[in-house]
Amino acid sequence: MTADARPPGLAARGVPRSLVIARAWGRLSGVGPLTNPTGAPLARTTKLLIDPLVIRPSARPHLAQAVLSDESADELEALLDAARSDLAATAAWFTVLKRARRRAGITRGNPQDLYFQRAFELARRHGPPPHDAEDIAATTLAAVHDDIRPGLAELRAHLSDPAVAAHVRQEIAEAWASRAVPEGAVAHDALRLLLDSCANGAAAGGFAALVASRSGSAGAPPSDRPGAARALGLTAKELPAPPEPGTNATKTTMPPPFDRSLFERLFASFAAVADSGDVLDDVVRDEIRRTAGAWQLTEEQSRVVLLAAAEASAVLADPASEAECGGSPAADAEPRPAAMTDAARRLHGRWRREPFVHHALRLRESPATARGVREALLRRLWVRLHGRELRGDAVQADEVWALLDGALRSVILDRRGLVKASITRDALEEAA
Amino acid sequence: MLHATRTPDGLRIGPMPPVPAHTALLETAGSLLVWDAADPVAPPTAAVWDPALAVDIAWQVYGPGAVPVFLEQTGAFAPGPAPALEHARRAALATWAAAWWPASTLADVPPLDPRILSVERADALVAVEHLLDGDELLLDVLADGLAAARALRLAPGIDSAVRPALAALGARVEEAAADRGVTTDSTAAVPAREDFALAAAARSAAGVLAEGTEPLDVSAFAPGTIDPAGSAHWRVLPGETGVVLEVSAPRAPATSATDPEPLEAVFAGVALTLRPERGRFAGSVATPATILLTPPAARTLTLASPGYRGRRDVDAGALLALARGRLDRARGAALLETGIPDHGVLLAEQEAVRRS
Repeated sequence: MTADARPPGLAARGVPRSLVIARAWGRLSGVGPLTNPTGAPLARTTKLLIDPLVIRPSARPHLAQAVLSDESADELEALLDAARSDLAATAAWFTVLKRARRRAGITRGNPQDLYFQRAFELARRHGPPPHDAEDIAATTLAAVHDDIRPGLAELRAHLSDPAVAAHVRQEIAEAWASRAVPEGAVAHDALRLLLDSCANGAAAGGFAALVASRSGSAGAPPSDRPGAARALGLTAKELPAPPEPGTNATKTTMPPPFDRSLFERLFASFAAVADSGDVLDDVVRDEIRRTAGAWQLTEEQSRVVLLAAAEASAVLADPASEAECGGSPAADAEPRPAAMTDAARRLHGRWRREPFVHHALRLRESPATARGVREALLRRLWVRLHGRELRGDAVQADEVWALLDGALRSVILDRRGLVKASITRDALEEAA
Repeated sequence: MLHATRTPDGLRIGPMPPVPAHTALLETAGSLLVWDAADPVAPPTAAVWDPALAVDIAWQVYGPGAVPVFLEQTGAFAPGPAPALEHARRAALATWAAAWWPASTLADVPPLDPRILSVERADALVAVEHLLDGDELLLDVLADGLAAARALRLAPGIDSAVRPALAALGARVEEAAADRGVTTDSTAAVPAREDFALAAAARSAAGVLAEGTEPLDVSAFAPGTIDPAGSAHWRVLPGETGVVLEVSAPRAPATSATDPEPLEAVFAGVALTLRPERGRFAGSVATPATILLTPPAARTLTLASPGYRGRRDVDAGALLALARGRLDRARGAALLETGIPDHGVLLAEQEAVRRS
């Protein structure tokens, strides 16, 4: 986006959507537990309740804009007004659920994330909490925190079984022996379209075209090209090797993604494994198949996101690693575009702001924290995409930019923390 | 009036931000807000890189009158009442104080209690959670704030007039942490308060072969390390075989007994480490007597915390004056039971003026 251009979707006139929501919200009563100290809805009230359950922008895309016309503002306010009873009851149920959580001594998970939508369901079903609300809340919590799930101990025991380990090794060998070279080529026009539009909420066309053309697979670092995956920070090896089954993992010494054992891969995202409800045999088999795939991921959507990230983040590459890998995977087949994409400009902008913030926060300056940003971003993104695959949560087009930007933000915040704590980088990386 | 100026990265609202040591910043979705810690009642400047996201900042921090300027990306507006302004400013100022507060024994600027700052910052960030750039920062800050709130509950030495305000802050932070599943196992994450370090006793100057002083470059030190009102001092004394180089620098007073990291010094090419002692950092090293032949122009001392390089962009006198001005405002501000003082004052500053 140039300084002269208004971003797509930002109308020159109108009312900010958040202002409309806050105005309508201020007229509701009984929603205190869902309200922040400025009087607006909590961030997660908007994200988990108001947007998906009241406004439903997928059905009313004109209400999803950052700036609304007067007519749309009226419509949105009317929707919130109509939901006033449900929202007040939701607030009351959230309080009851929190009380039940405290009573049960539960500390796992974010209560807002876990309970907001449950509270809304309870509000729709029961209205305000009735006399037996505490019992209903206890039952609800038991369902949310269902502990009849495989634990890390079960996974470790499973992979420690010599017969299982032998079988797993054989499956890994077979999967890696039958790895196929992805066919086709990267759809460069679609890739550029995606990177120019994803931050402006218009990623659908480019993303769909890239997924349909299997560009994510085609643009993966070739499994037979020495150094290709290493240049992107995904392995420390010249060529990635088949994984070991593994039975141990520590967050502080996690190797790069492609060098992780099966246990380490599943350990890093174990909450997702636990939530999937799959049996361990299936989880392990799926993981083996994943390790043999392009980007060592299964879903084409995930692969497209990594391809897009690798392309957009080339601008963050250290000079040495850029020279080693030629900048971007897509550039292997076609010269790198002369002009930066919008996504690349935005990522670069975030990184360029960092010295000002760093100095204003009076943080230690460490040359190590300024290196390998692109690789760290791609590793962080891989872990997030891997976790989503384990949860069966396929990436949607409108999430692409949040994933790219969020991965860089996360790397930057980690590095600030590490600079403050004065401990060596990479120790904790991607262990989240 | 605040004017919008197009920049290569987007839009700037208001004048250029102040010097780094006066910069109180808040990273929000789509923009970076900056207050001048010396003039906290003035509206913040904003570096906007995503106007679509920053439209939410426009009305919540500057008032609805700012919206057309953000949308048109040109023009000017007069800031008006805005629902998130006070909390956003408080978060920024607490962040600034943790980094730049110039605690000084020599200039009589008391240290701020980092635990109170931590709770204030967490409380303020919770209030503007919906404006922040992602949610990772808040969760980290809440974990710190929760540990600090718990440590403060039983902490001795805090003025009883401050306690209700602290209790209100702490309760809000604990509730916000519980609502977001933030827990902490440690109540000792923030060090307990002990007596302030005392200034070191003067040493005998007998037998000094050479000596000098060097101004301190505040930007070269980690927060809360050196007393910005002081100078570094070097001297060369007779040793058993050659001579001994001694270097010292005054240490900042602190509310914690935890020692800061040693400092790294280089004098005339000779490197040495200055370890924290009571009231000062000091170190010495045996060196050949030829050091006495160093010409005066080469008798330079560089001193820094590990990982810091001096930028010589901090005016220590201005920073101390800023802190005194803020303490004066803190003395004049009412101590409110909400824990949220008026006029851009921090509760940590109100606590410090009652302690000192």
